[in-house]
Amino acid sequence: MTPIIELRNVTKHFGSGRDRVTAVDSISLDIEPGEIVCLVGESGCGKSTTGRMVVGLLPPSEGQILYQGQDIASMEKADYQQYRRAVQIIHQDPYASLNPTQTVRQMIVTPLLRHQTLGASRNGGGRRGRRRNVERRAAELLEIVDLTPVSDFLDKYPHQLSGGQRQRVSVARALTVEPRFIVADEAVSMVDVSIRVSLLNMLYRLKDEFDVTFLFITHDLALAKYFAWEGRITVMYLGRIVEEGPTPRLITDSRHPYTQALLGAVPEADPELAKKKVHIELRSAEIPSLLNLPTGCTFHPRCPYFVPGECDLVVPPLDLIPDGGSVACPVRMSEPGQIV
Amino acid sequence: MTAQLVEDQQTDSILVSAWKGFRTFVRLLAYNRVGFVGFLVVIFMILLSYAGPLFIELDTKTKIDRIYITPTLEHPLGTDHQGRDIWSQIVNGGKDVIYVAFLAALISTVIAVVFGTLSGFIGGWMDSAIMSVTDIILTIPQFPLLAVLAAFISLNSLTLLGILMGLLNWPTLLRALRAQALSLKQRDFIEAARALDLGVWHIVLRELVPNMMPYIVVSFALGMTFAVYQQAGLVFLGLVPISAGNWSVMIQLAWVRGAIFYKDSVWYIMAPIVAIAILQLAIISMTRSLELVFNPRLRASE
Repeated sequence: MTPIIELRNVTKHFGSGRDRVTAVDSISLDIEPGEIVCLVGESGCGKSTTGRMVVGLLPPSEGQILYQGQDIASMEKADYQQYRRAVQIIHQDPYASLNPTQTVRQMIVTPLLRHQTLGASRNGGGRRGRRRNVERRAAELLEIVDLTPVSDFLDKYPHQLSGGQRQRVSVARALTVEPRFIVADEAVSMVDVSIRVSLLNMLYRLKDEFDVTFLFITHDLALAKYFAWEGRITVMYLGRIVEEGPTPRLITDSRHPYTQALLGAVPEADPELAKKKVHIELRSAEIPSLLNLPTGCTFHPRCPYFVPGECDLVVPPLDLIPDGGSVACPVRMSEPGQIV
Repeated sequence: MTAQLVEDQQTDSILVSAWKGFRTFVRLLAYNRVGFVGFLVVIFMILLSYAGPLFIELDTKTKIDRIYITPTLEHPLGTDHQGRDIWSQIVNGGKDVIYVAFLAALISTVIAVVFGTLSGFIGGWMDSAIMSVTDIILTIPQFPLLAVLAAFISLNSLTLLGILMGLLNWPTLLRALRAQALSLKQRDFIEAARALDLGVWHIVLRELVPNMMPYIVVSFALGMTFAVYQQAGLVFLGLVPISAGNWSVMIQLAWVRGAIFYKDSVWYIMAPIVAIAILQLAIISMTRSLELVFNPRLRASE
């Protein structure tokens, strides 16, 4: 099957000259239709930049992004418009992602009206019939994202909604154009912990009901584990992919020291489990500046398995491992990972 | 069932929803006392200036025996140097002042909004071009320029004066709006609108501008006050030969006729000054309420 989204050696620089920062450094990623892929990493590792490039909001500096096998940079206008609507983003901050001057109704109805995804046939012809169809569809969409009773929400302004409700409006708005692919950029990280799970379950339901493929961006491996158990996790560190693989393998048998450090940092509610947890001692807690990246493997100044003369000279390639996925660490890739 | 509910909500007739909108509007205006009083005074001044002349005719008859009389029942504000009623001049003299100020503020605000948002939102060469022109206009001293222009073009048309002032008064507002557009365009909801392919016009008119509305409306009102002083200054200096009587012309005439030298003529010179001051104060107070009307946090129905 053609991947729905394919990244080929995508690089993104910001700034120029001495201030040039490489936010994303030659990453490649295939996402098959129906798959759930999680992009995990600390803040500043380039995961959001990657997400925004996939949606076409940022052009890559080098490399290509392909939608259904076609490079989005060289698409015909009609194809590009199709891609533009097919790939949507859900932002992290529910307080910034909704226009404060519009009601929920306006936010949902506008894209529906503009893109004419609904004919006027059901309620007779003409503008009024179309308007009625659009209103009905808006109500349906709010029901899908569990904002019920719908009449309570249609005429609300964003400031009258809670963070979780706003995030649901964001999702409903993205669904107006019937997307095939959704980038969820930290979509639940600013929402109260107690409603995260219901929000995640709602997103998960969309995968089946609407046949949506997800790129789920998060800094929280626990969330990734919950959301993408049947999918894949890709771990990024300072603009590069360091490890990727099927979620169960990556969680239980991670190979890259950075993944292991992230896993060790996930807090466990159960004190018994927390005691058993293996913590990796990093040599430094400091994340290097993007302006002055370490040579070789960018993780080497912090890595407990640092091999002088090797890790600080050669950028480790992302090599396939027999247990599924690939790892960018020649030193540790064949070591069986600890059960974390 | 939900769809049914939605349709029921749509059945409000236009009159009913207009009434509801009007009620919300008044409620928001009344939210701030000072602003509401300002709003009422502005309405009063507009009514006085536009409806008043229908009832109170401009007194043009010279009455030598009635020069500079102090207020009586017949002449509530006394008479001028030719014995003409001052109250009738005040009632008839507001129209032009308000018209010119409104025209100037409207033109400068429209220019600033259109080009300020385009400059900030689109950026690139468009931004550089617009900003260069803005900076040039901004560095030209406006008042002397108007004075010079007044000497070359015969500024006997009020509309022409308003347009000229409007064409000169936009740069400061444009810069402010550009800065706002620059910060707004980074917001996630603009990105979402771009991802939804809603088009540049939709983004500018429906996403950017509504978020700048409180600022735009306040700037419009302040632009009006600025234009009132500007035209009063031009007329006072005698640079705009406007024959018809208005508040600015009254001040200038009073000055030229030496009204400041007589004790009893204080009514003649003070009446137009106070009229202008009240109008200005009312407009500035009104901005407090206008800000609230365009603030979505308050706009939601109760």
